[in-house]
Amino acid sequence: MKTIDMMSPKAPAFFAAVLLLLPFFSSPALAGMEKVPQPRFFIGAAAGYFYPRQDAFRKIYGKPLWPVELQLGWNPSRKMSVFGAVRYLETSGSTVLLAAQRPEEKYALRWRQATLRLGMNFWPLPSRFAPFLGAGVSYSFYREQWLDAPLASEGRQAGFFVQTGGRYRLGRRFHALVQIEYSAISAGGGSGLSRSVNLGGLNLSLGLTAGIF
Amino acid sequence: MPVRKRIVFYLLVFLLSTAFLPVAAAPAEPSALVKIASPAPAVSRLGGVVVQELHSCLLVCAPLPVLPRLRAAGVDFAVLAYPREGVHFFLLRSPLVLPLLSQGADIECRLLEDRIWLLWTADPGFRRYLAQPFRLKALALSGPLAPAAGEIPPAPAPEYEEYRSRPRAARALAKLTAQVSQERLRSDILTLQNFKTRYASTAQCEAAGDFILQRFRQIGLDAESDPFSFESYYQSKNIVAVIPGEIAPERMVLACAHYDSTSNNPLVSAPGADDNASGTAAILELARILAKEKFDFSIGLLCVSAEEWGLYGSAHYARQARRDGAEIIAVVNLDMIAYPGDRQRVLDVIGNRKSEWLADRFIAAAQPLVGLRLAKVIDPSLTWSDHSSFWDQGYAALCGIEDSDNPYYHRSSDTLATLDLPFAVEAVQASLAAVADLARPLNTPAAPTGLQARSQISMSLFSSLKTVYLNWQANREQGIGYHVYRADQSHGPALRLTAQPLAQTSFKDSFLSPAQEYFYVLTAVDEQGRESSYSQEVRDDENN
Repeated sequence: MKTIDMMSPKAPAFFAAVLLLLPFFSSPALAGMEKVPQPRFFIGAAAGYFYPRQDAFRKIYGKPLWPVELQLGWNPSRKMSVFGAVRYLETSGSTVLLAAQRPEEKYALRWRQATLRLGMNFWPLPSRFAPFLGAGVSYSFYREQWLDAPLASEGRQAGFFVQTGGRYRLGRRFHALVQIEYSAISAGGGSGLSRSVNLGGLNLSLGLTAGIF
Repeated sequence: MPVRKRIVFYLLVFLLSTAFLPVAAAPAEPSALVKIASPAPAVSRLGGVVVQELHSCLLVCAPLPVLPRLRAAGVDFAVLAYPREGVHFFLLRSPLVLPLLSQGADIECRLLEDRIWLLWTADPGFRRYLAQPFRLKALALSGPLAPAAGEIPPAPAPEYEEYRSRPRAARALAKLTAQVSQERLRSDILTLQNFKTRYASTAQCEAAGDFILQRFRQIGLDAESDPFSFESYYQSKNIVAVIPGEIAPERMVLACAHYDSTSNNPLVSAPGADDNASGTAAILELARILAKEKFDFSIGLLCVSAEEWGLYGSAHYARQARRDGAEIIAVVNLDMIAYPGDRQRVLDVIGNRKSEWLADRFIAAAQPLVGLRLAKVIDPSLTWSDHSSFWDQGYAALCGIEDSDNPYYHRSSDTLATLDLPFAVEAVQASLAAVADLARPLNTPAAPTGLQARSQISMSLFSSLKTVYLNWQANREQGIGYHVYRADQSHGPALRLTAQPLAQTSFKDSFLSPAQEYFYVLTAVDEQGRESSYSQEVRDDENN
């Protein structure tokens, strides 16, 4: 069986560095706004670009992947937030061949994945643009369906993620959010392409949160 | 008892009493057995039943009221006898001027033709008064006997001419006939001779029947014994085996021979090597060779008993076949095929007028393959063997018989030592070729060649499927399609994948398990649905 190597870490590392440095370029004039009381609960939505960590996933579903996410969060303090989220990814692809005799043979595939996420973010420098570090756990439901053949695989799997990024306060209730995340979801045995499937990868997303209470 | 129950009770009693009434052997109404110079086409229309067709005359059983009608119609007839209960009628063939040893016997005879007598008697032991050699045929005056003229037999296969013109068919027949073994014939004749006597109704004859049944089963044929009774007191059995046809199994070519024997001392010694261990051994040899082959039509292999008593075994089989609507295309009866005598080596092929096409076809198929001469004889008076029972039921039948006067005929000296086995081998080869030709062997396309298989695996993240691509060379015949078969193990049971024959020479087998190896074979199918044997097997990735 052929196993595909994992992705090169160079590109995600670059994005992570940019995001981590963002707080240091924030305007000091806005620092005084931190005194304004903030709502304890917030909701949010985010969308972004997902870069699968496994070569096999990228070969099959090679086009850009755009997951969307809805969040519900709680700020127990000014330096910490806890959130729950659901992320959804749907895409299409086609099979790859082993021992190819007729390269034209392709079967269309559809991938659907919904992930429940529970995480915590730490805000070391509360300010108008506040960087954060976070981590959490996830539970994914996935289904891979062959559209031209009577075949489908589905499963559910727990995983974890770490993330970093920052948020920019747009007003008393609203924040813009940018974050980069690394996730790992080990889904076990796969086809001949990879012995073990991991559904994780890097996710760069932009979003908006709104305080509600 | 209520009235309704009483009626039902009496009705049951009536039905049961009628069920146990003895079946009359003679016609239910007073009749006469008359001789009419043939041809007499009006007989059946006027109410007479043709009992036997002979060369120069017809034997007709006519109810008495029919006789004036016959006379009025200008039919010239002579009354021979008035059948009654308990009296049996026979055709008797005797070369002697006087066939009876004793004038005091309770037997009546009338000469019908040269050496052919009508004999009737109520004495079940009448045979002891007959001078050997003689031959008997029991006549059935009532029952479901078909007119002797019979129906026109089923037409030969319409594509016969085309088929015969194929060199491949001729080669196939040559290949089959080359398998006839003189040693096997000798061994089987000897075994049958060693029963001492095979006179029907004796224990030895029954043992000989068991031997034949066992041989058929050893060959792998579906065989059974078919018991019957005759002349009120006696029992014997026919042995029948079938090689099922591939295309039209309901149509049958029947090869038959009688295995019983007789002699001047039949209860003690009747080795019957020529008459008819030779024909029986031929049937066993046909079974051995033909059972390995495939044919369009079924081939029946029938060994009958009580032929020497009056063709009772074959009459039983033929009557039953007609009653069941059996589609017997042709009957090839073999009786005495191992004593050519001093004359030119000739095998007579005897038929009646309705069977002349069959005799022609027999000779056309067999003559190119054998050195002995095949002589067609069309004579309905030659009723002295089992083909005659099939004539009576309207089937096309012929008899293959040596063209000689065997001096050991119906004698205790009819033994293997007197036989000419090379002649017997050729007679069997001729019969084999004719039977195989009639049943249409190897009229199937050639098996496809050049089968190649390539496989590849399509993979998603979690699952994968194997696809196998097959291609092969087109057969040379026109109008050929192909069936594809797959097995999970080499030479294992194969599953046909194609509902209809494919016109193209490639096939894609999809959605297979990548973990499993698959094996493929092909067949070619012609426009009539005849299927070839399997092609060479290939593994799914054999040509990757």
